[in-house]
Amino acid sequence: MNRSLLESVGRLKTRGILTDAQASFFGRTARGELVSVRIELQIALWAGVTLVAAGAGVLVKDNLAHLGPVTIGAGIALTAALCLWYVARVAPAFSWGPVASPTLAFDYVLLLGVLLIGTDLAYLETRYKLLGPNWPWHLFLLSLIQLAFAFRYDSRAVLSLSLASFAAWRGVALSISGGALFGRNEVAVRLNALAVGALFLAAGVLLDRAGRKAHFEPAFGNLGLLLLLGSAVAGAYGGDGHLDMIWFSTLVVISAATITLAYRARRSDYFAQGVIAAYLGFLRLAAEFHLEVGLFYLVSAGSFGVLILILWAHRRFKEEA
Amino acid sequence: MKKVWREAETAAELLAAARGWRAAGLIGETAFSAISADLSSSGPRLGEIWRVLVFICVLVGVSTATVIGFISFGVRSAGGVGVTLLIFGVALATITDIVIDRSSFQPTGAEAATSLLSVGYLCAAVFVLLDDLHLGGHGALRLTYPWCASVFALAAWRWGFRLYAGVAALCVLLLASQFPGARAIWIAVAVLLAAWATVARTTRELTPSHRGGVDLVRIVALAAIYLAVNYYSVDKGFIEEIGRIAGAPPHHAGGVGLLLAGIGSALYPLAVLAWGLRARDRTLIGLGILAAALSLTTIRFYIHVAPLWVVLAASGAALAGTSLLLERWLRSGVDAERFGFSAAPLYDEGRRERLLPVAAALALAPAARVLPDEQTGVAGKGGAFGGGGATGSFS
Repeated sequence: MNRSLLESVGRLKTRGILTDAQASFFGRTARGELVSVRIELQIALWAGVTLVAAGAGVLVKDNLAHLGPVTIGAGIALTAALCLWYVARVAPAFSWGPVASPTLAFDYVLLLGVLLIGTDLAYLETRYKLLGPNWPWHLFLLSLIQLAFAFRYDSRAVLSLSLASFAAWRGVALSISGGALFGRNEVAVRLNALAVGALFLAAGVLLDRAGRKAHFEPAFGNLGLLLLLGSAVAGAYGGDGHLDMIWFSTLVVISAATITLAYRARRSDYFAQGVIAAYLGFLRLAAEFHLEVGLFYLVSAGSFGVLILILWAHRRFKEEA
Repeated sequence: MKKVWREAETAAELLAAARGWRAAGLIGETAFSAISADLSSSGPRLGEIWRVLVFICVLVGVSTATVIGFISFGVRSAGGVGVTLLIFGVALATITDIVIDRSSFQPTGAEAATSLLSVGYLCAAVFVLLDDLHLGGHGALRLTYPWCASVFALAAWRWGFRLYAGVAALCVLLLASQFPGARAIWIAVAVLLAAWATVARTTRELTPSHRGGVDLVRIVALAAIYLAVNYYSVDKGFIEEIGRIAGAPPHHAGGVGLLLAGIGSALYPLAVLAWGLRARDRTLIGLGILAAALSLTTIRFYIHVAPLWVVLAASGAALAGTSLLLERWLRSGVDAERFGFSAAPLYDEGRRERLLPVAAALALAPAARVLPDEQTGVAGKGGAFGGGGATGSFS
């Protein structure tokens, strides 16, 4: 029982702010007499989809040689088709604006269907070598298919998957379990990440300006900025012990532009990314000076300097906590 | 916790609830404005992103300032470091009090950083001082764990950070593992903690953050009980391993112990689930389901019931199917509820609802291909396929 909330509800009712019906309803929830398990059901759905998709992946991987190609390919395709048939059956009409999911399961069934298409495409490519040495193009094809589904059924989840597939095609991992921007062949990966990030940002701006699926802009913008700033930070830190001035300059330009534009547009999420990237760049620069004790003075002063900047800038971003 | 802090917390809780009601369409803009105006004790709040930024800056700034302090005061010996950490810890605790008291924004993220450093320094000081006194092994840990538990519990009570309450409970459990018969003491302590937390949350008038802290203590205690009764944990002697002195022979479970563990692995999740359903407690329900999933995984570890892909696909389908059936069943009840449970959003948890599918999608996104010139001379060496949870390589 949430006693403090219960008392507050009673007080609001006495003052006439809440109606009897509202106070009764909120009182029941505060006393724990009515509990919503919506999030729990969604987590169960998410876990279910993940397990089924993982099972399909293991099936393909382990039984590549044992089962007939038709059995595996057709089996997965049939399951994907069933999922997408359900989605098509219950989906509301297309709109360029936001569309609410008609059922709790809608997003997850769509996600499963799209994931199974990906598994099937990967399987067919592996089995029949349709694209031969150009096999990575199947990731591009997959991202286009996912993009189409994301727009048609207004799914942020499938949109994120599409952007991740597109980035994967260019050798950049956006998946949580994926690789980093460090490692072998890092320059090529970082350059690709810069290009993909810029493309995502541009797409986000275009959608926003055109007013077509403008609510997708944060997905494009945040992932794009993550790639742009992430690759620049990785470049600044990845110079084998020496500060790579080209990547450092890139980081300075991108983070300064991000902070300025986000400040003007009052976008706190973009502003925060820009500040964190600039701060990481500052730490890298401080380390380059080999100041010994002075390094600690510099980092400490810099941290409090950034803190003052943040508190000063916050006044412009009037937002609800 | 000071009275004025408690009032501010309660007001912030009501404001957050009112925002949820408004977003879910349960109250109108007029009622929301009236509630906001009514909450004079709730100051302005920094958004989450801002709090994270402030937290990082203060954490890095104060940590480096501490190092500067050590260098400036010429502290070199272990004893000197320990005493200095104690002084810094107390100073930071005072600063935390001042930030909470004086800041016009509540919370700011700064008090989280200074409190974290304060408890960190106070705990580290004891490690360093005991090391300086050449006290090690069980003796040192039997002093360190209760000290750390006290520091974290005091911090949770004073400032209301729920995470500290959970860490305090963990320290108490770790202390229990340092004695002979560790598993039995561990279970007894966990049961006592869970019982205390259950009684406290039902009978005492707690502030929102204290309620959250007590809830976390209960979660830690119940999870600890499961850890102690799980078959795999008993078989491998996890609890005994925590307190085992280096060089001592590892613990081996007997037949009776394993039999009891088998029974515990089966019954405990069901008992927690039943308790959760009866009390309409979402946390207990979640814990029960998680424990049941872990017990099923334990069975799969010892007994190969079916190929892995069948187990994954079947359990996934069962989980998704059950949640769908449950949602439909709840929705078809009178007023879309049954036995006090509803599948409808009572508060707007929109952000979590929106983020969950996105997180699911990104977790299952295909692995990035390996760029061509990184391959070492084997044409079509491959890369990774995915998109369906498949992350293996193919060639």
